[in-house]
Amino acid sequence: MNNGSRFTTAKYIVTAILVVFVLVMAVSGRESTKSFSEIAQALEARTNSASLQTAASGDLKRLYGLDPADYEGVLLKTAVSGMSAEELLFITLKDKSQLPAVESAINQRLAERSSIFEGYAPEQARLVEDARIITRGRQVFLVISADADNLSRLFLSSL
Amino acid sequence: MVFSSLTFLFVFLPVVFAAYFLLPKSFRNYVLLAASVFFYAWGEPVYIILMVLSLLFNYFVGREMEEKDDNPAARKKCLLFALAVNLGLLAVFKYCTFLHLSLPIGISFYTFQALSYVIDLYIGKIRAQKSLTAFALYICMFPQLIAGPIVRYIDVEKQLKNRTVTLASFGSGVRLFLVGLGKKVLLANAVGAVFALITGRAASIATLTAWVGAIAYMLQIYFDFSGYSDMAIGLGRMFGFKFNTNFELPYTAVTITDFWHRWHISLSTWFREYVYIPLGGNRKGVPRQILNLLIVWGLTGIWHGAGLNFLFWGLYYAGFLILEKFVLARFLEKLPALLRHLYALLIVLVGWVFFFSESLSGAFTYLKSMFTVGASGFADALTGSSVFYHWLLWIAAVFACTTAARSLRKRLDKTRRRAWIVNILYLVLFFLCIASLITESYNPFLYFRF
Repeated sequence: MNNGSRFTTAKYIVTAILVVFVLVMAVSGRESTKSFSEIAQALEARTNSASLQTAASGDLKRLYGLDPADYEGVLLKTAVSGMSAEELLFITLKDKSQLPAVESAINQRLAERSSIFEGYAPEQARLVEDARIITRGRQVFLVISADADNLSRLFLSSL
Repeated sequence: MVFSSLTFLFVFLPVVFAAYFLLPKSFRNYVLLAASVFFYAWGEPVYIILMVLSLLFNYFVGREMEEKDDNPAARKKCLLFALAVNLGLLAVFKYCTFLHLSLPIGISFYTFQALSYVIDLYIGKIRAQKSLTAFALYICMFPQLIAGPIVRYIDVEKQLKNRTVTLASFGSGVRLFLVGLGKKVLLANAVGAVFALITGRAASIATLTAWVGAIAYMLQIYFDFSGYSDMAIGLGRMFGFKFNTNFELPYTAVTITDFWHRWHISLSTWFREYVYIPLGGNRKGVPRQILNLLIVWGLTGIWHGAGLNFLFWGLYYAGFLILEKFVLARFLEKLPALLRHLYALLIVLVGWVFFFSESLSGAFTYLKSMFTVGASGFADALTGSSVFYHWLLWIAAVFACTTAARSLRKRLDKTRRRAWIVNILYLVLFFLCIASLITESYNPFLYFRF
């Protein structure tokens, strides 16, 4: 076998491996190697803050205007105290096309929360302004908290 | 791993420097390659496989093409196959959104580098790289791996084999890296926060606030991306590589043509060399030239993403470039420099709205906020707070875009007398960046998404 055919063979072998790799990625869904419940459990376990409570099932609709049935999974935690702006939302979308609607709902919610707190609790309004929104593939994460940075890192590490 | 992270600055980089400079020179490519693979795997433990397969594929294509030197038909077949596989991979991961594949970081950059190698090899501008280590290093060298600049093989071919690092070149690399770090950490992140605050209320923005938001993004993307490029070029210098400039004060441009000679130069050079010129460039008459420009800028747009807004953004620039070339050139020349400058800035600013918007309709909604007075009025509390609360930031950011800032830095860098004062200034810049990084949230570079 001369060098030419050796490199040609190697090229085709690598191409075949590339095709297999792409297929495996497409089938296994690279961006969601972890399920919603795995990520949600990790978040729940590490955000065991006394100031946050898991919201009632209708709260996503009431607060964000979103129907939880439209998504693969939703974790919403709201502040125990009405005086606190703290909030955590994690949604796994069924489809990326749902992203604009979710982002818009989040922005709307932030705008509302900001206007509520602006007048009488500027420090809470600041937390809303410093809210972190992270989107990774079909995973959307929002956190309003004094500990937003760490919670954001926690979310990213749980993916 | 990102350059503006404490892990990179205080763990990764010192270890790589120690290994690079303490081991014998013959080990340098191995050290850089190992570091680059580790750097990429840190953030993409799965997609490292894709990158390695991609580089192996292109290496074998190169060797095969050289073996078939006397067989033009076979070489052409080889080139077409390489184009299909490289562009196919890019298409699958970047544009087939229905597959739900996340975008491998840097794929647009390393694929374009690989394509430049294969095409130049086919044309006969270069010889195939026989060393797999040197070729792998070209594809995945960590300074420019994940967000450019897009380095053409022809530009670093000799340096892959033999390069020297002097104390002066190392020092100049460190300084450029610090300038880039400062652009990213102190300016891009800060104006980015203003932009996020304003667009977080996109449902209803006052006219002036919408302008402030767009200007904030305009500055953010410049400092973010040019900051990354400065860091990449600076790191390259520290390891003995000379990468070409990627940004040349783009916001000092006086026309759109001028702007694109200054913005993301490595990308526009790539499209000019490998698409525009092969299509015939300006050599086949005006209608064909216009078509070629539309193709190139349409592709430039979708290189950034699958969204219609990116395609529109590319074609928007094609429109202005064509207008300037065939209609506006003489008129613009007669205008005072200030007016020409304002014209260029306005076109670029509106262009960024298409770029940062999630959709085309979102872009037009935002533009409507900028050019009409809506429910929120002409100005609101946010206008004042975003301008006056950050007044120092705005002054610093605008100054940093000007030729005055560039001249000042060059003068400082050339200072021989009291050079220690300049070094202290750079040290202060470094400490300011570190102080900011310690309290910073997750904040990746904007161009990672491309």
